[in-house]
Amino acid sequence: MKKILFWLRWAWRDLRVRWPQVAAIAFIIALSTGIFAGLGGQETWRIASMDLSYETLVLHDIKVNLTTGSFLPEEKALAVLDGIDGLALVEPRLVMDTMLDASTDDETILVSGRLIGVDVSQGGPWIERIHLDEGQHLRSGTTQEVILETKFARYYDLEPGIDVRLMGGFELSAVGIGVSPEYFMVTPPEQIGFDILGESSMAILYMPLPAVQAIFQQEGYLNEILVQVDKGADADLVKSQVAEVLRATFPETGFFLSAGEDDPGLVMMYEDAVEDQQMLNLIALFFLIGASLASFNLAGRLVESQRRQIGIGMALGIPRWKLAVRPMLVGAQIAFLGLVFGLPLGFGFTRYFGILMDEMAPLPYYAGTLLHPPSFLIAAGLGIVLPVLSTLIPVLRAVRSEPLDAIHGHLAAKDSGLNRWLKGIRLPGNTFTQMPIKNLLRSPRRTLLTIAGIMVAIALLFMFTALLDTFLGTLDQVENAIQYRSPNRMLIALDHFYPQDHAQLDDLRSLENSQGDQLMAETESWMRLGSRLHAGDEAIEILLDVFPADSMIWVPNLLSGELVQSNQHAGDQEKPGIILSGRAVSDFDLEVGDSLILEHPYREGLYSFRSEQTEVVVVGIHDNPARGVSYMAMEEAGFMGLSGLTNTIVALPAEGVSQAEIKEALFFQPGILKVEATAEFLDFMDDVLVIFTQALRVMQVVGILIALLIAYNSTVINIDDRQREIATMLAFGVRLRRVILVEIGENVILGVLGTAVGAVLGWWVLERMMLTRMETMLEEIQFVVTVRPFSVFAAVTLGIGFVALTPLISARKLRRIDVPSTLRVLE
Amino acid sequence: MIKLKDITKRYDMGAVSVTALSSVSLEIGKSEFVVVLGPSGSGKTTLLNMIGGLDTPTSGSVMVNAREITNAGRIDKFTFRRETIGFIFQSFNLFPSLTALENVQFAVDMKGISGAVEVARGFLDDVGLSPRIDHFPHELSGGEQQRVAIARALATGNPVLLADEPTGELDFQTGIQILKLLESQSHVDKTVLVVTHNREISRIADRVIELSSGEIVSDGAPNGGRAEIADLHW
Repeated sequence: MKKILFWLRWAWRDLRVRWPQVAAIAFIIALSTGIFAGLGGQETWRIASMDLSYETLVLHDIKVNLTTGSFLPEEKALAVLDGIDGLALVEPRLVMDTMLDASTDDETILVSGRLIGVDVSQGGPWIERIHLDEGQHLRSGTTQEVILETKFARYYDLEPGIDVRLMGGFELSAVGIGVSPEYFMVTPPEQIGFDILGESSMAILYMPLPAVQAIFQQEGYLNEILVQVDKGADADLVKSQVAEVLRATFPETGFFLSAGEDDPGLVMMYEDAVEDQQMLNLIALFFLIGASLASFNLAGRLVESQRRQIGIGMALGIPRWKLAVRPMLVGAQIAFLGLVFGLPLGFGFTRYFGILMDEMAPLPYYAGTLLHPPSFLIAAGLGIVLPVLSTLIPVLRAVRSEPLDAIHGHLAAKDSGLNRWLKGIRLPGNTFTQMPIKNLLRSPRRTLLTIAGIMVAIALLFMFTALLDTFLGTLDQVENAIQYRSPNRMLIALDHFYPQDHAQLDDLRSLENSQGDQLMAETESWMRLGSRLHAGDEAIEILLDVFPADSMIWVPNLLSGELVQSNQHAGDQEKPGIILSGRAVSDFDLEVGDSLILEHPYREGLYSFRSEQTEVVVVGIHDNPARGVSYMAMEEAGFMGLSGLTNTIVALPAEGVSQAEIKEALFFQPGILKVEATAEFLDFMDDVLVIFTQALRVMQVVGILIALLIAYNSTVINIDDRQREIATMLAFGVRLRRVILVEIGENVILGVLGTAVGAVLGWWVLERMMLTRMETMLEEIQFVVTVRPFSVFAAVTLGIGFVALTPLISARKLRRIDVPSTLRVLE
Repeated sequence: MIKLKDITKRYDMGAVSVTALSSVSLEIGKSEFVVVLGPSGSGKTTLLNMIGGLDTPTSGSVMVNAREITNAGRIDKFTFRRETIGFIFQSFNLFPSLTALENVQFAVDMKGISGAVEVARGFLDDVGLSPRIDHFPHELSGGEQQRVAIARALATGNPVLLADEPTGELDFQTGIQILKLLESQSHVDKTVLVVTHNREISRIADRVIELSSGEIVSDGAPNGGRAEIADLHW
């Protein structure tokens, strides 16, 4: 027991002398293992939470969607489905798009709205149940009560009890705030490419079915049917039977069936969880590599500083295993401190990520916490293994050397390292300017490990910086594409197709304010259609904007090709021309002049459409990075049976008229589905960017911290290793600041090399790995890899500047060197 | 050249107080070759550190080359050492990253003298190391390393050379070579002070100052008169 206490006391004294270095190494390890622990369980947690949420709120198995503008008699539709085996539950819905005025005293909120009429009789709805976050549930028989969707309400800070208005002047009261599974992620179709961003621009409102039917004068009608299949029943068989029965009963009505598990929001959320985890694992791996390099370099050097004492012990005949105890205790101290720091850091990262996910993609139910014991155990294991291995290797080296070599090792270097390459070569400058590089070349392994540690940390910093710049650059490109030529234009979506010369549209175009001034300076008739592109086995959803080629307001900005086919393509004029995004073209491996299939609505009657496929030719490529955004000149669009029609008015506000004024004026006009100002979309993007920016900034700070800790520790250990050299210089009268300048010179070289290679590595990882994952996760976007000059400047300044200046932290330690004691020979 | 008056150095370590030097007074002239002799713990290294401006006396005064350094400030002491003292250490203390030439060049660069490489070459030639100028310290023998250290001290051009046990790590033959070099410097207007516990070395000095327990017990010509270096034996 006394012997154990002796070693512990000795180790404690070692720690008291070395505690800043030990703590710094421990903190580096703690940061990286903390990130690993904190983020390692996010996939498991998210998937478990999504499973719980979808199951608890009963995601539909099958949904019958009628084509836009189509309706079915509710009673008859439900009756024909009644006879199908395998149906557990069938519920009718009426889903209508509208405009919502949720303005408060502080803010004007005029957005697109989607009114979901649900069956609340018998305590429903029982499929796509509404999870109530605040307020009260819908009551059967009410006609003016709605529940606002949670994310929309949170975005605008709305609470139960507020009054809202629908287009047409319907006054409603928001009695509650909640969400159903279908809208865990809101994906407004016109924001193709930015599906995750729908919450501010689209308000989902839940209301009793009869109330919605009354508002839209569709009493007794539905346009959606939700189906729950019996457990054990063949869902595909049930689906085909449902389709068959409906087609047979309602042959003139178009509809399509979708499975709940294919819901785009659901698919995206589950895929995101998996792909996010892969990316986070990659990030954690990088941090761990940086920490490993730092640990092996720095902990190893701490142990080497005890080599002389190990040599003395060996000379005295002490068994080697006993001599190994003390330096190994250094590793144990680092491991212990690593755990002490790492656990709260891990909890902290867990909590932070949980908050982030709750902001970006909130769920009604969470399965436990993000704490993932396996990740924490692995992280704890790594936190122990790394420092133990880092100390074990130099300890083994030390106890295997000859005692005299170990004892006298401090008096003269074993060799000159790579300086032998410089023999006979006169470097420029004097000895003081040459010393930094020569000191680094003397210990090449140590130098490389330090550079490698800084390199990994800078690579992470650069990667996150470049990732942020890439986001910003891509958003800038979207902004430029949207705001090109007419930044204040507005899109007025009509509730269905109208002849372009319809009187109602003339009234719209000539709207005036209370002073009698015309609100809109310019208007044009466009069309906007949800469609699909097919090329080989691939297919993508697109939003097709049909525009007048001679538009005075706006036409897409082309990177190549033309807006309308010219005579040059005379041979292809049988095929209509389409303008696609660069991403769509590259995904399909096409060029201008190539053909593909457009699946589009074809108008059969006034309000009925069927789906048709037509071969089209790519005539141009536009500059918007969103894959699904496509354009076609009005002159080319006759094949869709929509000649002379319009469902979208594009307008320019008159001088002195604000977009908000026009929105308010249009709000009460009949026939309007929604009104959008292009700038609103971009404002929302800025808000979402804040979340991304915060997350990336945290990672940037961690990267910087690791680089600084590595540099600081390396400097401190350098000073300890070179005490005799420094004392000799001071004895000869070299000023302290010159000694510090030599140290700074070394760190400048380390910083330059570490930053240069780190930046290249960071760029490579960004391009090869991160962007590949981003483009898989956000496949609707063409990312434009961008690094802003300021970002490069910041990374270089931090990487070189901070690293170079760390010797200043040790100035006090240098000032306190006892020159005579240091120079005294210890016999 | 060097004037110490009533120098006392006490180290207070809690309840214990150790007197390294007690009322030591001496004067050393220009071009003297002086050996400070004494056993371990006699205060000889402390005395050297006082003269070299590396330590401050508890009481008394130190004047070197007409410069009062007793209570000189930190910066002044740096300047003093740079302009007045050349150190030679028992364990050589060469810079391991620099070659022999560069180690000597360091001293020349420190003084801001131009043509540092050629100047350094000259000093290494003086100590007989021209063939080894591009070798690193670990590639040199002990004697060669000490000769580089001497060349480095000489390259400062400073008038006072302080050598602390310069032959301590060397064999007899090599030690003799080193002593020859050091002794020769006193013939070129340098004041050389050698600290040693080896009584044999004191025989070649102009003057031997013997210390015991921090006090001077004798100060004068070596016993039996000054010997030739060739007569030394240990």
